[in-house]
Amino acid sequence: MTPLDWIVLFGWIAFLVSYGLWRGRGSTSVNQYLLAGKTMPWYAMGLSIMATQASAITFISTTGQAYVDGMRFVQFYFGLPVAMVLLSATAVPIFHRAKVYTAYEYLEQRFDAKTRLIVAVIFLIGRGLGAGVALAAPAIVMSVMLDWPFYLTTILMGGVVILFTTMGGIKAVTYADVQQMMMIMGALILAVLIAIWKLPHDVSFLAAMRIAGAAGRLNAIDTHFDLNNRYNLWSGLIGSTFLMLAYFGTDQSQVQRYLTGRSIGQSRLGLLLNAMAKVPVQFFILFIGAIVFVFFIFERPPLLFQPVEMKRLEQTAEYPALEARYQQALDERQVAARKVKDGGSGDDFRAAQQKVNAVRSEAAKLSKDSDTNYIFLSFVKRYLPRGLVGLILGVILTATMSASSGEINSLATVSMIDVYRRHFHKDATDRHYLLASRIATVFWGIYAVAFANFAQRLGSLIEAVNQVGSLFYGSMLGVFVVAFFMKKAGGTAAFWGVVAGQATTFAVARFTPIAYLWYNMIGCLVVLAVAWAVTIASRRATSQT
Amino acid sequence: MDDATPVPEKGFEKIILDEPPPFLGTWERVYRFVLIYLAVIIFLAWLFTKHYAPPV
Repeated sequence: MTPLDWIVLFGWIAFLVSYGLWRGRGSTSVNQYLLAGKTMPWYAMGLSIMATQASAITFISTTGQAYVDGMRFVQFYFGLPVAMVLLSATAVPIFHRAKVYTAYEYLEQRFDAKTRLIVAVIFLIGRGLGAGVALAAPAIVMSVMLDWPFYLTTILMGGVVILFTTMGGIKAVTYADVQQMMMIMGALILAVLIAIWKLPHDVSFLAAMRIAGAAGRLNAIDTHFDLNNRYNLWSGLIGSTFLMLAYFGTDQSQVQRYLTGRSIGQSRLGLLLNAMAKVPVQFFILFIGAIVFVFFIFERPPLLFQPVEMKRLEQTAEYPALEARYQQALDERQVAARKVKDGGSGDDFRAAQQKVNAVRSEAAKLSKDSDTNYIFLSFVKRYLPRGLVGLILGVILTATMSASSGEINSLATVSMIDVYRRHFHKDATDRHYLLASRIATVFWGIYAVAFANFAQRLGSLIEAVNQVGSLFYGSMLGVFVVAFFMKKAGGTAAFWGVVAGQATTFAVARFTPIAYLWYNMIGCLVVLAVAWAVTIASRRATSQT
Repeated sequence: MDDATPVPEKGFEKIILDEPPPFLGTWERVYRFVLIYLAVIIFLAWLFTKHYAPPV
């Protein structure tokens, strides 16, 4: 990193924080602090929703995923537009008319206090784990790339998030997200243009596409149905729809965004903007990974992209032999890629690619850390011009802050509205609750930083913890579907439905190989079945007495 | 735990409008448009995959 990169990086962070705080000024009541006084326009809500979903890991991990595995991950997002339409038609008007701060507050209006409390607690557990991981995962990568100690990276990122979210509330978070989203898209477009421009002169863009395709890196759609295959068209359209319905319909970090809309129509437009933009954006991010793959066919890639692990590997006895085999495989691959460019079948190319993969797998076994998350950042640091490197690393840092601030803000809202105000201190002044909201924000911010430092020591378990979120969404979605559509179901039916849905999801995750995208559907259906059965049973019991 | 329902409060006084969309006339048409758009995107992505797929 050059001095110019450091200036751009810190300049960008300072600009974003100042801009957010300036736009968020005047949040002097609970309603303004938590719901922006219900004044947000649709485009700010839509971009903010996208920014909250798109943490740094989305950019560094998704591109790396396309590099090693191709673009099939895009199918994960196919359920999102369907979910946005369903939520616009159902949840948005219901939540707006209920005049609530949180989705769980509505559950008390519809059922009872115990159902509201159990779902709020499930949210706090699931999202609380997620908040720490959302900070830890990119901090691990950024600490390596910037050569900072991990604890310092999390404290710096967490500190800015706490200051920013506590002072500015949701309005600051939302307006900063708008700038963040636009800047990151601009930076990524520049990055891919430079990757294409830096290809050898005899390799055109279309030739690069042919090479990426021959290596299976442009495999966006897989139509084969397989319950154990994480990403195919059907898991994307069915499993992902349930996940997205649960995420956007029941997770307060998302619900709170569209509750800030000044009308039902504005909230709907915000969600529908997300529906239309998300799939092309993810397609583009994955496409960058595929182009970086082609780029590294003609520029020598390191044996491992993780720089610390690479240095460690160089000290091992196995390294010289691995390096020699790697160089030979790379040379063969480059020659074969040129044949593909000239219209060859690609068999030699795929054979050479398998040799490259085999050497990298052997090197990875000697490493303690997967290097997928370092591929895009290695490209950025080594090949992008001065200034742009600082900007891209800066927007990736602020993407983490953006996702974390949304999560911390929603955790604080649920803690204050659904727990503190509902069960501990009912009749205080607005000023008191505003102070309580700020204290809750500081608490969850410190918790996220502390948990991030703990999660880092768990190593590979981080991925497992990350998937824990999907264990909770199915039953949360189920209880809201019961609330919206099973008019005769009462609080007891909903409560036992949630308990059964949660137990079933845990059992499926523990004892079956079913891919996690399906947990949401299973959990939701169990809640519906149990709530329906309890409703029928209680109506029969009532009619007999 | 008690079961008293909280009262709507300050900041929620204004009437919530269910306004028509700025284009296509009704929300149902907008939803249909979004779903057709998704189908077109998936179809284009499928064509893209087929075109660049390595030979089996």
